[in-house]
Amino acid sequence: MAKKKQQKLRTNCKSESKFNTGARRIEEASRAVAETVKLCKPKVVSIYPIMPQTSGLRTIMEFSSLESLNVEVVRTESAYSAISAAIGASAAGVRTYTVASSQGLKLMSEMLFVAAGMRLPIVMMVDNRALPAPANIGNDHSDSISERDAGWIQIYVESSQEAVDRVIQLFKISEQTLIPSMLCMDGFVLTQAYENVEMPSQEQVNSFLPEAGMLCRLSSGKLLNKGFIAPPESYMQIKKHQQESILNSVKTIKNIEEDFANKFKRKWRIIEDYKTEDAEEVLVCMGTVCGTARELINELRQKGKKAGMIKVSLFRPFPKNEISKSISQCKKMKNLIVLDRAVSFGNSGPLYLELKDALFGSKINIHGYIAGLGGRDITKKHLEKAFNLSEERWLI
Amino acid sequence: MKKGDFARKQSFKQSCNNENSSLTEIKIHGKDGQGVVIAGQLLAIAAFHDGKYSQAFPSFYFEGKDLLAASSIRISDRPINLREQVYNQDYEIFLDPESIQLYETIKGPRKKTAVNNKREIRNCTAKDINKKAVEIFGRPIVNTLLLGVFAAYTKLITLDSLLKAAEERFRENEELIIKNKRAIREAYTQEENG
Repeated sequence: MAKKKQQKLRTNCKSESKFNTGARRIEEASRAVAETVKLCKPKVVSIYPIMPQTSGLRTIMEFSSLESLNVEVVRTESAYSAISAAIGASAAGVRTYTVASSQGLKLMSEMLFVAAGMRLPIVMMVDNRALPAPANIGNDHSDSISERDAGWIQIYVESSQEAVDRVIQLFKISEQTLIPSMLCMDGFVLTQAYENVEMPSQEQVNSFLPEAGMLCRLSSGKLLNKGFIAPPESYMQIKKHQQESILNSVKTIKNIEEDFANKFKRKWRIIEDYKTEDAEEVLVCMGTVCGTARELINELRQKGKKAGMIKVSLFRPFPKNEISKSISQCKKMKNLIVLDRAVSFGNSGPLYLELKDALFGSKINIHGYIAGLGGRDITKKHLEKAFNLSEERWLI
Repeated sequence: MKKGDFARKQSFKQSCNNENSSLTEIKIHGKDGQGVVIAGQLLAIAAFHDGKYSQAFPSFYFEGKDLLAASSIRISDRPINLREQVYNQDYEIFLDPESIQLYETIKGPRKKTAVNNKREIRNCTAKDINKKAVEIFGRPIVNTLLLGVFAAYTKLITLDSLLKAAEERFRENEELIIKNKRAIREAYTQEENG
């Protein structure tokens, strides 16, 4: 037994030295994110495994056995306890990380509001997965999108590289704004995908991310109460303040993106335009489908069809001004096509509704499509249908 | 489907093939639990060590044994943005002799295929490697053996990078590294020597 343990530690140390090289590598996305989280040095990681975030967890378990890191990994009996443990740890003022997916995120739902209300800078990786019933493990955005009102920052990523870079940014964003944040990755399509990724080095992360430290934290020496009862007068003021902070956080997020680009030489934008200057049809989408859309747009342009894309990374807070500005720069646009990977039952796609809201009063033709639910692959054919303004709203 | 629709679809297919001329797409079929996912990962890692961009991701209908699983792999000289599953594969690998009958109906532009099977199939290299798998692993796990066959047959990836990939992928378990490297090497040399 002791021998086995020793061997495990040895392999861990071996992998540690390998992890710190800061070079271009091929890695599973969820593992790459977990290794980047390690570089961010969280003090508490609370976890409850649920498919498909298990491979990320395995990495976390591996690095938790390294004494030098001094990280407390809390293995809880349910997702609810995982977020509760994260709230406790974050309230004590340490950097905290957790992971969730599908039903696990739904079980956390109550506590998500608590974390946001208590202004705790927890960072969570969400592996987007469909919700039952019927049971399904495939990817769609319905789990995290339906938590959009919880008061968390939500960023949807397109590639492993973006996920790795964004997780570093999110620790800084959350700690500066005191708003918890979700890194939403498409389950299986991205989280289980092996692809080339440039891993940041410990020095780079150290120079970008300061040590975690909160002014207002629970400790045994000082009496303090967080998230306690509030009468109507103060409750509403607190909520107003919360709303103002999350709306203002867009500015902070943009500044941190800029700062990140200077240090790491990789730029990610909350709203990214792709060949929109002369585009007649512009697609708006989130997540991994943006990659497929890029390829299709190149092909359509070769055939003479002027297509473009606006990639939305930041879904909460929704950057209304930025997206309106992007759309107003598409001078030749005839149709705006919005692709959703989730449904708001009884209405239409959530991103479509956001766009409608952001463009209220303008005369732009907006078409909403729903695709890729429950792991259904979104192919170029589906996207081409949307570009051709198909009458079917569900691209099955 | 309308007539014009079909023509458009065909021209679209051609334009895809022309544009991504450097892109090679591979699909691995099998049952879940046979090592479909790991085989895909090994191919992607090996291609990376050959100095290329690569991508591999699994798709299955559900977790559990005896359910169909597939792995989509892309290898290219430039960064890969495309994230749909592989449909127009250049190469196919079947880990399970039963599944080829299911997929024989799929008519993709199939160039070369590696199959774990006794009977010869047109345009395929069929190898009965179950016996060897039992000899090395103690049970019929054929994924690394078939990758060795595939590498020798297609020369798409080099033996060295495939061995390196096995070392990297199984870095947590030394026993697995030794066994899988042996499997890859033996299958590769056997295929090369005919």
